[in-house]
Amino acid sequence: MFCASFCRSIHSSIKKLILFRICKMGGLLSTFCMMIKHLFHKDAHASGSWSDLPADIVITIVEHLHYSDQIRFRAVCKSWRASSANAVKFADKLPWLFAYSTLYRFNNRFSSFCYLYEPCHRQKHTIELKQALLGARVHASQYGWLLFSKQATLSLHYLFMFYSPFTGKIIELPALESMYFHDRILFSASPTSPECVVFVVRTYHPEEFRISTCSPGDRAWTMHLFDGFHGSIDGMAFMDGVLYCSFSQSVLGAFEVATKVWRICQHNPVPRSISSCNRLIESDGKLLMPCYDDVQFRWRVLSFDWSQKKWFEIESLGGKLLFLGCTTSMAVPAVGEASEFANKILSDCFHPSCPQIYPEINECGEYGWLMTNIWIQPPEQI
Amino acid sequence: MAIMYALKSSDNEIFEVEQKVIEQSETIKKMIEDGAATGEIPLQVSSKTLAKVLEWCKQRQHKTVENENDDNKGKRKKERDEDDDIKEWENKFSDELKADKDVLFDLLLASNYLDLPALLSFLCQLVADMVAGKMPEEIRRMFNIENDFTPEEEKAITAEHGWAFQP
Repeated sequence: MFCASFCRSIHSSIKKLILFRICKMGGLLSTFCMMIKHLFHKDAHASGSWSDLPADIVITIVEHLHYSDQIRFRAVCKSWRASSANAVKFADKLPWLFAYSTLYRFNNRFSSFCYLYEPCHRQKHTIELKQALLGARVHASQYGWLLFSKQATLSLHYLFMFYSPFTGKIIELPALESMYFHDRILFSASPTSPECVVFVVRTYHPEEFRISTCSPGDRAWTMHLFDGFHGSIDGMAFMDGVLYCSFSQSVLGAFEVATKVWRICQHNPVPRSISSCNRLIESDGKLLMPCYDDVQFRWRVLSFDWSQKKWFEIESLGGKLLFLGCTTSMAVPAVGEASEFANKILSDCFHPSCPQIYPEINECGEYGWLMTNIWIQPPEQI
Repeated sequence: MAIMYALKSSDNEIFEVEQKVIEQSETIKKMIEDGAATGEIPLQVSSKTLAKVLEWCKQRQHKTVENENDDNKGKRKKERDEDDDIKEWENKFSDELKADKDVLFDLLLASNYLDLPALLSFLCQLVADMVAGKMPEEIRRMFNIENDFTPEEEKAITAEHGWAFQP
């Protein structure tokens, strides 16, 4: 202790000495600035504790870490935790997997265990599902959040809630008076953001089309009714304030959130040989539709051309890779750890053609129940 | 004839360095441009650390000069070989720093103070690789850091992301 304070006093006298020398030289302003920098720069001999690292260095280190490593790094000491509070990046380039079981167990109870699979450490984390989510169905996964719905006890109403498996947080939404199995659901932004809108889209009625919207904090859902029937909804995507829906009868619809205007456009039918065109993905301002070619046994990707109102096939994904899932599909830039998969299409299916970068993907849950796998990206904030 | 500058470490050791090598440091480059760097340039960096900084700068400088002198013929192969050489050099450099964490710490501060973004980013990646997959207690031991959280605070932190602290 005494030694440290002695060193510090030596250090400060050196600082004074240098300041004196440079002032004597009639140094330029920049030299003076240098001096200020000198004074703030602690020579490593005077301090030397890793917990005293300057905040900007701590942030740079944190932004080189994967999400789970950031959490552990921030639990090391108070100063690292405080310094890294504003870190905005993480090293994860590949999405994680959230796996849970929706099936009943023999004793009529739901399985409460679910998993988070982390591709960078190839590690499976077990988490206990919150009581409120037991028996609930997941509809969408974006920005590190999952959107669940569940029928209320002794009621026809459906409860909606956001759940973050990373933090265990739950954000509840108002109940919706009814839900059909074919309703499609999507949300536009992280539920912690004021921009967040949840869409429940229904085409069940033969001549009518309904979009119900709601934001976290709202007291009720808002219904928007439109005329027309275009078949079943194949896919939905949200881009630049607009919800896009592709329908089975070669129609693409667009609902603008700000104006509540609904527009449709008839387009060319997709080739007969392709199937599974039930996903719409936003990628760099473009709408993509991956489809499986039943003749050539491979995935093909269509991109929408607005000027010609046509889907056309693209040969390359432009350095992206696509993750396809039953709940959520996404385009990811093929950088860092993802670069070796550039222009590839990965599916959460059990198809042998899927590259196996997620070895646990096919694993079964407790008691041998099959798990539902959902792609999920770490949240934007720690 | 290359222009040389004399850098003076905090423990008064003089390092004669080519201008091109030392200009990688934005801090020193600015001093030279402003004409403030006449005679010795005093730096608040120990001689041990400064030697390491210059080792890095010379390696980087070596790489840029060679690339400028190349013609396209056989460039690809040469580049591949060079990349291997650089990788090997960087691995050795990293191993030395991993073994002596005081030098690593001093170098982090020095790269920040001398404004050497490439070195700073390299070192931060190195620290990131060192802590990856480790539990807080292991990281504390590695860098000799005291746990200054109260048991209650620690409990709250681990409770929020319980899965990340599972062994």
